[in-house]
Amino acid sequence: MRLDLNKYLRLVCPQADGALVVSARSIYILPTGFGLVYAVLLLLLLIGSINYANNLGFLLTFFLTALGLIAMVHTWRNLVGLRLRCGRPDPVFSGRTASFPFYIEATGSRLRPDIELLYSHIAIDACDAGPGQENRLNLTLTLSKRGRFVLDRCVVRSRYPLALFRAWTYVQPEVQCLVYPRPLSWTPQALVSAEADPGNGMARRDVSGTDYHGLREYRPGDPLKTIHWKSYAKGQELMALEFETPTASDLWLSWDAVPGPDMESRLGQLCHAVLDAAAGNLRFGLRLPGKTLPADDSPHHVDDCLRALALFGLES
Amino acid sequence: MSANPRKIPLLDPLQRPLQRYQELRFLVFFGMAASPHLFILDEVFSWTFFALLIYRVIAVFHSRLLPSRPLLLVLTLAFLILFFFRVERILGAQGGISLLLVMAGLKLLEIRRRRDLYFSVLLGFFTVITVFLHEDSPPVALLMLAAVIGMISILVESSRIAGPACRLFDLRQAAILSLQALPIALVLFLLFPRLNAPLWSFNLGEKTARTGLSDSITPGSISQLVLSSEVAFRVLFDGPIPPPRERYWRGPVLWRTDGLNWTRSPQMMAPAQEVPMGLRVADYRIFLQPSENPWLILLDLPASAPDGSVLSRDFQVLTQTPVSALRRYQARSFTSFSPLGIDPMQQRLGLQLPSNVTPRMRALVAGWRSGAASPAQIVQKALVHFNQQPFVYSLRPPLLGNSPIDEFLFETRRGFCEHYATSFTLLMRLAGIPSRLVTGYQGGELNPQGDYLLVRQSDAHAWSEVWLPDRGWVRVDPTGAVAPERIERPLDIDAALGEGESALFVIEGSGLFRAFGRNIRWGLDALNLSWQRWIIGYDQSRQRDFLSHMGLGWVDQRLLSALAFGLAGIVFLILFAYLRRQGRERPDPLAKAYGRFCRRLAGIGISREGHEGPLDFERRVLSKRPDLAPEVAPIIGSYVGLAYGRSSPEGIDRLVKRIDAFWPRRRS
Repeated sequence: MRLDLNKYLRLVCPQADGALVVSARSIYILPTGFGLVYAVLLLLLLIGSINYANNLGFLLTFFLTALGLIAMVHTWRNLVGLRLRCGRPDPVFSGRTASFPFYIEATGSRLRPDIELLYSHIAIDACDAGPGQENRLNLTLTLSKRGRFVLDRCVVRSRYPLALFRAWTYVQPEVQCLVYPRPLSWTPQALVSAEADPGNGMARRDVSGTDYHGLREYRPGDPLKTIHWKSYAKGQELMALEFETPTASDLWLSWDAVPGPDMESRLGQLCHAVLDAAAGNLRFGLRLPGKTLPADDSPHHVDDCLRALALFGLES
Repeated sequence: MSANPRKIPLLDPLQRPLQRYQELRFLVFFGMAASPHLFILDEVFSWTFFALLIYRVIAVFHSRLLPSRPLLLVLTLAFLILFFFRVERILGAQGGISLLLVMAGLKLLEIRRRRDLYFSVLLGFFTVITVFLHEDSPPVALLMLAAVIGMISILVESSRIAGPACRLFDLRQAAILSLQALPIALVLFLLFPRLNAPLWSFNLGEKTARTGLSDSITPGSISQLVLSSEVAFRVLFDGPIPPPRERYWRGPVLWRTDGLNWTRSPQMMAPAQEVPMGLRVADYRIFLQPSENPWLILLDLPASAPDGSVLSRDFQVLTQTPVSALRRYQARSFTSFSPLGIDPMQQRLGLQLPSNVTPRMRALVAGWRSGAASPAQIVQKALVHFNQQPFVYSLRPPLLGNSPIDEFLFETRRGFCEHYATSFTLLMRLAGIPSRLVTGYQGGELNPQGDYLLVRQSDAHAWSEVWLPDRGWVRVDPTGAVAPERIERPLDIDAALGEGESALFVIEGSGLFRAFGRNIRWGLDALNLSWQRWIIGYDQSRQRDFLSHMGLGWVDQRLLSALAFGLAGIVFLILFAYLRRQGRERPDPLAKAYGRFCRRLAGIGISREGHEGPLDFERRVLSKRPDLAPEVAPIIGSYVGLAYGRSSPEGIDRLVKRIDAFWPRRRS
């Protein structure tokens, strides 16, 4: 049976207002490798001083010992009371670098030099945090897997001033980053054929010339024939039938239209197509198995499409 | 869900290459730490080190001069071979230090990254302690302090990831850290138990010839010393300082002579059996400079031997091992004492004659004996002889041959204290009076700035002791018969032939400058004594004194360690609490000032209720005390403005001032 030590870690979790406050009890402190060598040096100096009954040697030894102790307090003090807040990162495409901004909000009245930010044992960024300046650490990660990336616990560390000790604390910010599929370019013929093919998901247009879209609240000025009387008769509010009339420039990006071969490459190809369509200011819709996003040309529509691609098959 | 993301790591500060100024700064501090070795170590190695250091400084500007690793390896091997060829000449710890220093020099050539700097700083700390093994003067200690703080600043700097926050940031941080470390260091220094015996005895390999007394006398040996203004010892008296004519500092006592050399008697070095009764007592502490001699110097006549030494039968104070480091001891002497007896052994040794006694000498003594009723009168006649015959006191007496005493007495008649003392002692023996030769120091310079006596090598002296039946062993100083001022007045070092250092202050014909120079010298020497009392000479007995002074005399060695670490721990906790408070979020000055305002009103009986807002409170205050309106209304008005409206530092300042000036009085 494997003992899960993580259970016993003292984590700094967000408070009610979302801030991560480093309390005294959540700080770990240990000597660094250099600190251990320093301790060995102190021992040698002490033995030498005792042996030669050399008082200046004693003075130097005790001075350096006291210096080490004081440095330990300074290292610890560098972290205690630190107030961090993790900002929301912008979504990224798979394989690109996401940047999680950590803002150090309160430092007290003194400078806290060399606050380091680590993610899985690797130092990513460091800064001097002080009053009256913008204190920001950027946790930059290259994310490769499509979906919702939830930031694991990070380490905030300091070795200042002498690097004899390292003090650190585990922070668990509750942030995530949306990772879109990596855009894969594909042959434009495929897209063209998807548009030209009459049997490709455009059957309803042939029936009525308009696309039934759904119900919405009745707005004054709507033609009477569009009122959905059935629901009104049931005692509900007055609703209007909404029809969409596809225009010639409407583009449907469809799962079946992209060459594949597998799911991830289809998503990547669709992602590329969405970006292309957005770049060309086209009005487009996205059709995925089990989910359809109607044609639109607003900016948030692009985001919606990319989100749908990112989360496709991952969330029910 | 979260697949392994690739991290973009920050460059580890320890792996970063060095800036030019960083390298230079380190080299300067390291050079400072090692510089005293120039005067201590074997010149081949100290110069090798400094050549490497200078080469490294040049390489700061021309980095291609830095040797490659294979070349460095070859260099290291070459120096190791050189070291082993030369090692016979430099034994003991000095050899080790030489090796360390040269290897440190080679390590300098290897410094390229911050990481190398780190470990080189540790090497620097180690170099400092090797300096302390040989040098402990205040100037060297100050230099080492500067080097250590400099190297701490290098540690601060090399660990920095972001750039320095401001100019001299790291040096300032180093100074702050050092200041905070000082209290703990001092507690540990004062209380850490001192051992009297070393853990292992290493030969420091520096038995350099020191100027000072030796255990035998040949004519001319003391006149060499008189030219040295080196300090022999310093004395702090617990009571009044004895007058100059009593300042005889007893050293080796010489019995045996071959007519040329005078040496000690092994029989007399057994522990004393008889201790005289003191009539007048002097208590004092002596700080004896390293002499490499196995004896201590005490005021004549030692009443007992200080710790770690033995009082011999002829009242020498002998130690087991030579005094190779500064030695501090508490001592007691009798400046006046009951008559000392003589034993058969002393009788025999005190009358021992060399083979080169001449008829002229016998005739001289026979003349005194015939006209004297008692040994005391013979002594008197001898002194009169020295005084009235044309004897001259001279620092540069003519060279004497195989029968020096005869030549001195009847031909040259020019000599220094050892000439007078040896010839007088021999003449007394010829007259049948047991006598011995005593060497030591006489006089001493009173330092008014520290109220202590400073005795130099130039105060070295020799005199005689004769045994008189009714008075016991009596000190007779025949030199005084020739040059009384030598005894009455301390030798003025400014007027003597100094060794150069004292000449610095001698400005002919200017009394003011001379007095000024003397004052500076006294001041520096007083500083030196405090340094020796509290730092260099702080040994087990001094620690005991300190503890009993603090009322902790009952603490034994084992408890002392606990006390040392316990007290250091308490000091650490105090510092910890201080550091923790420092730089915490300060309370809002506005809220603080308003709190003060409310407290002052509470003082006159109007306390604000917890729920009461400022405007309600104002209304209530004014209903009770309408006379306060001119003060209270503007305070509340601007408080409300600042707390709930636009806040400005100037506005807060104005309000704080106004509140500070607000002292409401109770209505009479």
